[in-house]
Amino acid sequence: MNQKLVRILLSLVFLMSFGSMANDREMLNKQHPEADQLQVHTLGQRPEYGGESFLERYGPPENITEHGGHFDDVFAYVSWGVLIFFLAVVFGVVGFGWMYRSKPGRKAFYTTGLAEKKFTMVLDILFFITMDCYLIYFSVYDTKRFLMTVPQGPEVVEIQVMPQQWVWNFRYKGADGVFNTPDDIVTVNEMWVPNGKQVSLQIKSKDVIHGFMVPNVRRQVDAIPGQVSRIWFKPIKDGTYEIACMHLCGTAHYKMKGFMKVVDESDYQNWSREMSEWSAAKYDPDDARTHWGWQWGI
Amino acid sequence: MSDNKSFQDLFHAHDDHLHGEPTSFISKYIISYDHKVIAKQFLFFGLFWAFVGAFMSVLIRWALAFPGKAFPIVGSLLFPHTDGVIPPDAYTMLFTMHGTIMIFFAITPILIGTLGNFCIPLMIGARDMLFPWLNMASFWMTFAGGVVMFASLFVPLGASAVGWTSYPTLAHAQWSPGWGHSLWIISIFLMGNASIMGAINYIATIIRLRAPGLTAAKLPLTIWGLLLTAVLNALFIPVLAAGLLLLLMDRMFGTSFYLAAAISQNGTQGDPILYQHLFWIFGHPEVYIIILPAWGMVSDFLSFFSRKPAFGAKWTAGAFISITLLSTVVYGHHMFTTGMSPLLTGAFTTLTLLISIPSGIFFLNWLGTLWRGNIQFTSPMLFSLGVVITFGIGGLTGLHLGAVPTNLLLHNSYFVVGHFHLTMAVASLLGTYAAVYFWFPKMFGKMLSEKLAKIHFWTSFLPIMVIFVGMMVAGYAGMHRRIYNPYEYTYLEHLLFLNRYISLAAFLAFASQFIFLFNFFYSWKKGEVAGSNPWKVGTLEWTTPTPVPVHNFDVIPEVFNGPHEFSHPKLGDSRDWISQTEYLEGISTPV
Amino acid sequence: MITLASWGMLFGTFVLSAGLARVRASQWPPDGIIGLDAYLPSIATLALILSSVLIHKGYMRFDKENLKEFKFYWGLGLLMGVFFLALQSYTLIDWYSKGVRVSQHLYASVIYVWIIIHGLHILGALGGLFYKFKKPKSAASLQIWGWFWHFIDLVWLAMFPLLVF
Repeated sequence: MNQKLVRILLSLVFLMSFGSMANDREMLNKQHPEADQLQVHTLGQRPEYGGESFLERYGPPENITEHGGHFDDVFAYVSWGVLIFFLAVVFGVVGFGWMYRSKPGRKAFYTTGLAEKKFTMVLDILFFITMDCYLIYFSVYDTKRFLMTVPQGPEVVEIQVMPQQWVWNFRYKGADGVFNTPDDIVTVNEMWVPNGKQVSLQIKSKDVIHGFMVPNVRRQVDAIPGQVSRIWFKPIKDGTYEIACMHLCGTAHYKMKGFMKVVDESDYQNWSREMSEWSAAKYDPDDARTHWGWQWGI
Repeated sequence: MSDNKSFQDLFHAHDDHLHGEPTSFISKYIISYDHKVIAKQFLFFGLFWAFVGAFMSVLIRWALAFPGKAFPIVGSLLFPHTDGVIPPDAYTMLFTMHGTIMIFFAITPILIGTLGNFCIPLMIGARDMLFPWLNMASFWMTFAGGVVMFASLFVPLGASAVGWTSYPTLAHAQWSPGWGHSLWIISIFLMGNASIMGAINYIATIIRLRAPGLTAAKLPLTIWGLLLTAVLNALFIPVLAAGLLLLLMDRMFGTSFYLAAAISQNGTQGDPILYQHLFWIFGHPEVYIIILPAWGMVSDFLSFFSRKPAFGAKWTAGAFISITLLSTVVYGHHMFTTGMSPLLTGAFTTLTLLISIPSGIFFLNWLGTLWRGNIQFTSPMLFSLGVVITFGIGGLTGLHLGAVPTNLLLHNSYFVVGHFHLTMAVASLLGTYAAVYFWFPKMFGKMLSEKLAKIHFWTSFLPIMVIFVGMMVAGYAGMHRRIYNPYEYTYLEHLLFLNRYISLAAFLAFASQFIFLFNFFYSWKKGEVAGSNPWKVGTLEWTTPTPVPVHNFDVIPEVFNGPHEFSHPKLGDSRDWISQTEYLEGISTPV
Repeated sequence: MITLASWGMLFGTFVLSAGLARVRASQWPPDGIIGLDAYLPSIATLALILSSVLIHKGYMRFDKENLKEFKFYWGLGLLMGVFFLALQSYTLIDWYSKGVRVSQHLYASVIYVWIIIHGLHILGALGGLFYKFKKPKSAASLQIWGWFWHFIDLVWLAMFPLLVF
């Protein structure tokens, strides 16, 4: 009887939530009336509902970097493993619950000694080998790959990022190849990067802790005042992608959104040259606010 | 140096009345030294705050499901300036306070304060705690902390709004002005002190006041859980206290412990990351503090209601101990994105993943306890099974977060929120319910309605699974936590449906708790009178009459058996349990 | 014992943080701040060590019938403790009058806060020692307060070199 009631309740809930979806598009359009006009409407490469599989819809937005796929692979592996072990647990609970439910005249089996424990030992070791070993290996290897090394060299695009409450500031070297000089390109909330080149970021927060993440890149790093954080990636697909702040940074944390524009190499060079010239021309040595860059170092 | 005998004289409590029978209303219910009364004080304190915290979570889920819509009925009362719509600054206060209240003012007082206080002396055969005055002081200090936190909700610039983890530099006076967060710190400081006092009491009591014959092997797993919790409490809350004290100094006296070079005066050497280290050195053991008592209790309940021994009980206790030890050295997995040295990162991730081994041991032992049992689906059993399932999925998803690659993807997303709620909130909540349903007859002398309990279970457990598994899906899709309106980001817009589904489940789960409250208060007054051992279980507290007299035991019992001697062949066919105090050849060992 | 372990963690944390600050700083005391003069605190440290020895002697000589020797040593130890506190207070007040404020540098923050917090615990311990002086109930209770006092001393001994040198 109870089960029926629960089932009815759940179906009601389900139906209600579907019904309310009719209002969604309208409401969201009211919030973002400009969305249709801006070319950024295809952000995150997320097509309208009704095209892709469930997994695609409820996974992170499309991966656009060289190494991003690796993270998806690890996640998939762990998730499958977790699912299998969890189903084993559910079978244990529901299955044993059903098989050994109390009936008149039933007597439980008095367990003692080591005999049966061998089974649990074996299961535990199996778990360790399939899950832990895989994860430890990749954790250590990826720490080395992503957290310990930073790409260097003339081909690497180096950008300094300074998040503050509640915008993202970006600084490029400009034509002279040195940071913190008059021809630096400084943008707010817009980061241009060339397709197919390593991008290396140094991040330093101006005020509180922020978190730099482009979901399409699959990795994030915290921006901490007084410390330089580093992240690097190689984008391999053109488009405009959102940058999210992943660490609570105050009231407008939810609106701290930037855009990463991945463009063709030649477009990037043109943009870079134009902006650098423009910056050098407009440079005002007395405006202290624009001198926030730092020595790149390593 | 020490004269052992004189030291023992101080604590010679076995046959002494530690305190006389109280007579006045004040000494019976308000300023009481009796651990059973103090347990109830903690219970009502915790229930009040649990309601406040749960209501806050309803508001949070409302904002995520229906952004821009006014909260019904009480919305315009609570948020008059925005016509009932929850504004962003209030939202940040809500999730901060929800986390703080649930951890420090709801779960800790009920699971550790109430159940620890009530069960420990009774289950080990003592008349009361070793330090009754300290016990009472612990409650009143908790109460004082509650008053301060309550006051912080009404200060002009608003309550604390920096997340329950209170990271600087957001938590500094410059970015969180006003008294709200300073009062928050003071309140947590008081709570922390109360916890330490309680922890010292529990450890000392368990070590010194066990009845003769109650060896470590015969100790119920509930007591093991409570003991290890107390050890972690005593050792690691001081670290939190230190970290918070330095933050308070920074806020109030202009010191610069956590302020780093560019933004503090005169280029000082403070470091916001120092706070994170200190906080998580406390923070990680804290989550084990919250779950260990529930683990211990569930281990016992599974045995009690399968009517067979706890499978591998010694291994379970051993697993608890090794988890306690390991939990102290894994805290860095909260900080993988902060640019810690790679050596530390690698060490933390390896140790974190290794915790899965002892966890697996006791978890599989739970399943082994069910195997070939004679399972009775009473309400404590249902809730214990709920713990097994929710902790199963919650704990397994810890693998995603403990490994570096997936952590870099999922850090600060709703995946984390789903994971920690399942392991820390749901498993301990269901464990707490199991414990309350189990010990209610002993505490209040009445039986709770089993029918209502079962409805409560299903209408809580199923929606809860929907909520938090849904959150993990949302997190994987990229939704970050502590976010007022995720739909600002176009890549999150499509999650409105999912969030709405989760929220409706949350409202249902919230409503279901009223069934429990109704059951609780109705049965307290008008329930069926309970006998002294309605569950037919052998641990020591069930050898007392119901209601339990102030001095607990007329004669301090002698313990011959373990707590899980169910269905022993030597018991014959007429019964399947034996009390810990009954001597039977073939089962018992002499004192 | 457990309480001491608990307190140990608290002060351990403080010491660790101080140590970190110290190790990271390129110069100690840093430029622009008048360094804490090591003279008075060193004397205070010696006084504290002496007081611990005296308290211990008082405990060993505790005899329910003849309280004279106990009172002598314990009382003297108590006085030394007060002397320590007085010296510490004077050092800080003097430093304050020279214009050093916490907001100036982490160095100042650390020293002020550490010494003040330690001092507050010393004050509490002195209160307990004084209470025991008036009403020594048993050797066991003396032992407990004695342990606490020795513990506070050890903490100071650990902190002192970090802060001052």
